[in-house]
Amino acid sequence: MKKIEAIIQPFKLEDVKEALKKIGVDGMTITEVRGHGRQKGHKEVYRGHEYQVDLLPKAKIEIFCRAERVEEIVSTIAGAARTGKIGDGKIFVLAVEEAIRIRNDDRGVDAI
Amino acid sequence: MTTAAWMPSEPAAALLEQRTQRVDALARESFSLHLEAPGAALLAVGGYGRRRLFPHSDVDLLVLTARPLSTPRERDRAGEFLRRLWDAGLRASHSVRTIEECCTLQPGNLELTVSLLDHRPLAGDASLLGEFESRWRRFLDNRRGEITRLICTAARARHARFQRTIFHLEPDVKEGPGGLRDLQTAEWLSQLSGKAVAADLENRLEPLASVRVFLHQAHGRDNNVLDFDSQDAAARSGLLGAGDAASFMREWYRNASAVLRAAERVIEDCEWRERSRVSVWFDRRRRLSTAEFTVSRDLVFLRNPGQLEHDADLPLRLFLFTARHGLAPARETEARLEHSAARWAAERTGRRAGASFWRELLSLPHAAGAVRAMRSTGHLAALLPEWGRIDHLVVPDFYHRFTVDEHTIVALEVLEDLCSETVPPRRFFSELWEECGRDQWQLRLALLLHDTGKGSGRDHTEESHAIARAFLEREGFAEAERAAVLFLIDKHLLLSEAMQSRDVASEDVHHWLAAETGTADRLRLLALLTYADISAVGAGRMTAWRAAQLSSLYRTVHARLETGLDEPASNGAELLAILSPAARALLAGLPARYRWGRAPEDFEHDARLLEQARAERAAVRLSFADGAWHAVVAAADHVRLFADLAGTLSSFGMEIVQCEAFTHQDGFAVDSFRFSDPHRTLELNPPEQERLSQTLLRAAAGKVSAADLLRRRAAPRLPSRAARIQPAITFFEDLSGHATVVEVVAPDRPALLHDLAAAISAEGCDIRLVRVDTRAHKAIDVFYVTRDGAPLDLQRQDSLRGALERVCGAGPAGPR
Repeated sequence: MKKIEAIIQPFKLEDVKEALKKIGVDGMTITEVRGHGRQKGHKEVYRGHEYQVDLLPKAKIEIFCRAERVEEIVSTIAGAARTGKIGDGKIFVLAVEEAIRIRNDDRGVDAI
Repeated sequence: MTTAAWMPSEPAAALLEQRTQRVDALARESFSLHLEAPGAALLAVGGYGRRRLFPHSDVDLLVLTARPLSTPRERDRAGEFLRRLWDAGLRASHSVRTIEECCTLQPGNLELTVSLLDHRPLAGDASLLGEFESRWRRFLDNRRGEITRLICTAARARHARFQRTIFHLEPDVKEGPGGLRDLQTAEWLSQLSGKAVAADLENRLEPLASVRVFLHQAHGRDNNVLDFDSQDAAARSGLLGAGDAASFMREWYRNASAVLRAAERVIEDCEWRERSRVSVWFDRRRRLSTAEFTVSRDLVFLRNPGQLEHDADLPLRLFLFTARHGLAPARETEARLEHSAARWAAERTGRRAGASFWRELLSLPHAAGAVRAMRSTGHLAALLPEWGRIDHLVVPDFYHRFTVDEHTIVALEVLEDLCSETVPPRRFFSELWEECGRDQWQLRLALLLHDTGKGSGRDHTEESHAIARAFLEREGFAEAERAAVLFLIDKHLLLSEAMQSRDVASEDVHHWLAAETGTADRLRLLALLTYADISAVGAGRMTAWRAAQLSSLYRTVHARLETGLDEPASNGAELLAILSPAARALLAGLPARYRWGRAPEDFEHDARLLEQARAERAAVRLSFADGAWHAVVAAADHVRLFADLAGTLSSFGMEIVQCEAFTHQDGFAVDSFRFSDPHRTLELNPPEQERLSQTLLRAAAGKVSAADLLRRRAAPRLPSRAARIQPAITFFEDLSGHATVVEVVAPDRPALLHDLAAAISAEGCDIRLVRVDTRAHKAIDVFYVTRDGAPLDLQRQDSLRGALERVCGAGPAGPR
């Protein structure tokens, strides 16, 4: 089992969700997050005040899947979220030790 | 225990009574088999005690004992008693208490005392029951005030959990405002105060109960949320006599609204009686009372309710009064207004409130509260019949929490709540709201109308536009006002859609948004409208994340708009076709910024003014519109022209609130000033208008110095609020390819604009374009400055910064 974490541009969220739906991935967790990688932040000036925007709004998608589906899901997310510019985001793949469905105590991939 | 299927055509109250009787028999039987003994009795409490036992609801029972159950045998008998009820299919919710425990107000357990208010003896030791009744009456006599206060507090807290509104798309029919719990609250408080329950409230039980019975029966459990599926099912079954889900929900809200108002009236009365004499004495807001309205306990009462019969404008004055002082009409006042609303509307048929009423109402600090009161008394629908289209309208989606009308009013309240925001990024919007100043009413009006087209089945923005246009024309709003409000309605989804589906870091998107909004003023209003619209979708929708995204987008597009101030005009063919050759020539020679906020007739006026100036060296047009004076001066441009014109106006005591200066390609300047006349000098002394025009002409021709004129005026005194504004001077080198952009933010004062412009001229710089705005006591002035036709170098910027700081009284250099 694997966990896929993708940090993407918020405006690409709908595209990514749609692309994932097409390959049969319906279950996911989405969080509004803020952060930056190499994109860093920038300064905005308004009415004589400087606003340091160093933590930029991003959307985080978390998906748990079987190991054999990782490549397909990762390439789908990357394809849908890519603009080719700095700030497109990152995808992380992590190993998952166990999954438990609370309702009926299903374990392992059955619980995903 | 099974219950025969209930049909919506049958009275729900009868079903509840039948079920109560059957459970009574079961409970008595089980008690006699397992618990019957001296020193034990059985009471029905809570909803069951009230004889309103809903299908699948808990059966609230209290086993009264002379002493606590202590032996295992006694506990086993109590267990057997309950098991028998469970086996019969009842969900028994029980407690075992002594008389002492029942007659004690236990901290954190108000429920026990409240459930006992509805107690009903079922079986058991008659002497124990007699002693309980006697002790209970004494307990109530002694603690009546405290219990009343706790019930009121609990009701207020419950209302707060539901954002104090009945208008949830999927309401909770039991706990939600206007639900059964409010009806019970009114009954409990009436019982405690020894008053009879209002007759209209008793009539509301049946519709509320029938919906709850329907829900419990449909779900087979104690489910009280009237979700979208249940709404459809209830409408199909003909519940509340409705044919479709929308009518069913309207009927539900009508009943819930009546229950909530009645409950609040009882709560208000109780809270007032419970207030100490000292707090009544210090009811400071009483001093706001007028010859028509009495203010008491922060509520507005009519001094002479009979006046409603013959004074059709009294309700309007009342709503203006509440909007001005942030007071709500008392429930009693609301009831009188509601009672007379239909007759009032009929008498006003064909008469409109007029643009001035809406302008005044929506400019007042607590307009949202007044609009809410107008909605609940029926006056809003009478003044704005289009409101009826969205009144109580449910548009099923899983994003919005409220009905369309409630969403609109919550959005208005969000704007008012902005005043108290202190935490970034929301504080940023609070500052924007303050900057809006006199444009606030336009934003509120746009919000009031922005969703009126919902429920039509067509594009709601287009539909809202058509409705708003008809309303604005009917009420007599000026063309510029209509355009401003319609713009906001047309674009009310622009920024939220951009945040959702566009790359907001892209310059193309900034350019597109700048083109769509056109001016910084419009962008500001649109950003605030977006903020309020998203926030009003439901609690927690405007997260800090989303607020940061919106504020950042606003700042970026604002900077883009400032950049575009001096871009050459690209006039549309359609516009050019309707203009005279002189007006076309005017537009061809001025930057694009000149076109924003002006109508074609303004181009024609200014073109004639420019022709006159070419012939006579200078020309002036002075007019009054929308509560402010407006002067346009066309003249051969020279170094101190703008400073002298601004200074001349200041020397007459005028307060410049907005101005723009443009230089035509042929070397003539077109400078426009919008200013207020705080002492009404021009209005009360018409010859002064001519004298001002002549002085402006002489200043434009260089025949009089503004500095000399200003010397005659007394030294200005700064208002205390202005002292809190820190001056800031910012130079932008990359905003314009042709000029250096200097933004000055400073506390406003008379002749500030003249002094700034004079300082720029004294540094040998040319002012190519000016955009000046005054927001409350804050002056925001943007100058496009060149020297010898080029942007300023760093050395010249430092020198100019020093000069401007001296004018503003700034200490260290502002941020750069």
